[in-house]
Amino acid sequence: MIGIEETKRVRINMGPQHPATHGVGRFILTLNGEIIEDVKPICGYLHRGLEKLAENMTYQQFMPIVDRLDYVASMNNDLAYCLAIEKLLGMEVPERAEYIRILIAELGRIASHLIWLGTMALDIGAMTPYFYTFRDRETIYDMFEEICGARLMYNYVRMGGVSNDITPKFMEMLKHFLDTFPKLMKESDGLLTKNRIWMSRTKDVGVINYDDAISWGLSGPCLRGSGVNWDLRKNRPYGIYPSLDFDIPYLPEGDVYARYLVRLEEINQSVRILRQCVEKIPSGGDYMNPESPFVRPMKKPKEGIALKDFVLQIRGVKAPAGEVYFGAENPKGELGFYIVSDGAGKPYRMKIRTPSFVHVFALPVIVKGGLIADIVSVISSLDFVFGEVDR
Amino acid sequence: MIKEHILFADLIKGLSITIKKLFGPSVTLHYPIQRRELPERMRFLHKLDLTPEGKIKCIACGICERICPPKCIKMTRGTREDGKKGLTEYEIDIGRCIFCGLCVEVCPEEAISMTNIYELATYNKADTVYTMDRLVRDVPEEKKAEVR
Repeated sequence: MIGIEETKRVRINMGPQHPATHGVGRFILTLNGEIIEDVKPICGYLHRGLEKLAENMTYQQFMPIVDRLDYVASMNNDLAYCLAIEKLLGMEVPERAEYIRILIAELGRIASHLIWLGTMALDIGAMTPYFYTFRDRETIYDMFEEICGARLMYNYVRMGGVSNDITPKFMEMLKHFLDTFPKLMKESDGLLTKNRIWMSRTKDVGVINYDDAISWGLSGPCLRGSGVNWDLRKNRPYGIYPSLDFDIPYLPEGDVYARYLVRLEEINQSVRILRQCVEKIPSGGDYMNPESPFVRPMKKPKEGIALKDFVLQIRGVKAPAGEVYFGAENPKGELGFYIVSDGAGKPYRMKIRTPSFVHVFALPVIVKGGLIADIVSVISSLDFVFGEVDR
Repeated sequence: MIKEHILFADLIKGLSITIKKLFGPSVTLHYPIQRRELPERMRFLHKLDLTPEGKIKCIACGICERICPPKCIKMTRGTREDGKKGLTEYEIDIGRCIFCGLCVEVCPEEAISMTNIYELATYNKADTVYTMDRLVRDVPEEKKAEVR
């Protein structure tokens, strides 16, 4: 007979086809009653070998593949990759392109956070915010469609600028969005932030303290939810972020509710950045550095097309030998590209440091000793995407 | 905080938001009946462009074939019917294509472009391979639904 004190440990597979794991993640839970004793995350169900693929592709060819990392914030992935290549090649970007890049990166951040908010509410049991956030996200995707012609896999940013200039219609849509969005955001905020069920499901749940958050390598809103004031846009600035005025929200609690509030405030800060960019963006000028070797042949004057343009497109732009690391602040955290070049048109080795991979493997520290009902809200609050975990 | 709990202020606030939405306008489209207006830059089914004289612009340089990341473009060069050397066959496997638009960007002759025909589902897998006769056509606006 099993007494009350000596309960039997149960192992449960959560996933790989579980709606709350945000992709094809699998977690092996060891349960003692309702208490979680151990979590073992297992990745590899969406492995596509992107790092190996990169070694056999030119820098330009790998651009559309980068979109497939974090498929809810493709614009930010593109930007991070391009900034890494530009750092390797020492390339300049025109001023207008810099502003366009910030515009799309912040819109991408809002879109990613909206998906997170909707799915987190859905996971915890509130279905209504899901529809509201997806409605707002749709307007952002319409804007992206207008400038680059795709809804999810943009392939828009280029080494040395962006692939197409933004249209007047895009600016109109953006201004309309900035006028209406803060009001619409209050709907989701009003439904959740003060709601008693929401608060009891998120407050003091899934706590990770300041030291653990740093030593487990968390980044982005998850790190700032633990009280660390660290944002690559401020601490290792890139682009024109230093000239813009915005705050980095951070809260010391380290629980799910803190991460929720940090992300909500980040949406507001992104709107603030967008407003400044709309005012400051130069009305004319190049959207692509004309001296960039990545300029497509048909953009050059007809007489200028030579055999070397064909060779450049097929063999790739020869980067100087050396290695470079660049980390950009993505919606999920720090997305870094470590590129080793041996002087050929293709990278010798490319390591992609993705925030989601780190967050998934910090999960055992956060949920150990918690209740099984809380693991869903913790998973949602860490906001990982399995396209990024498995690469 | 405690006052809010007793008065159910948080729940009333949430309910008032959802009830307001009940009488608002609809944000969705009834898809097959209603269709969205698509922007010009939409990247969907490819099209091989023609010169004003009605000849294929493509010079069979093969740059699109080489840059295509999923390798879905196949082209054959040879002697054409009019005796000149050039493009004889061209096919795109839409089932493999990721619609990145790199083939359009690198083309030195602007011979390939992308249309906004997005209903590409078929019953046969063989139909996903678009050969030259299906790619070389200037699709009129009203016939876009037919090209599947």
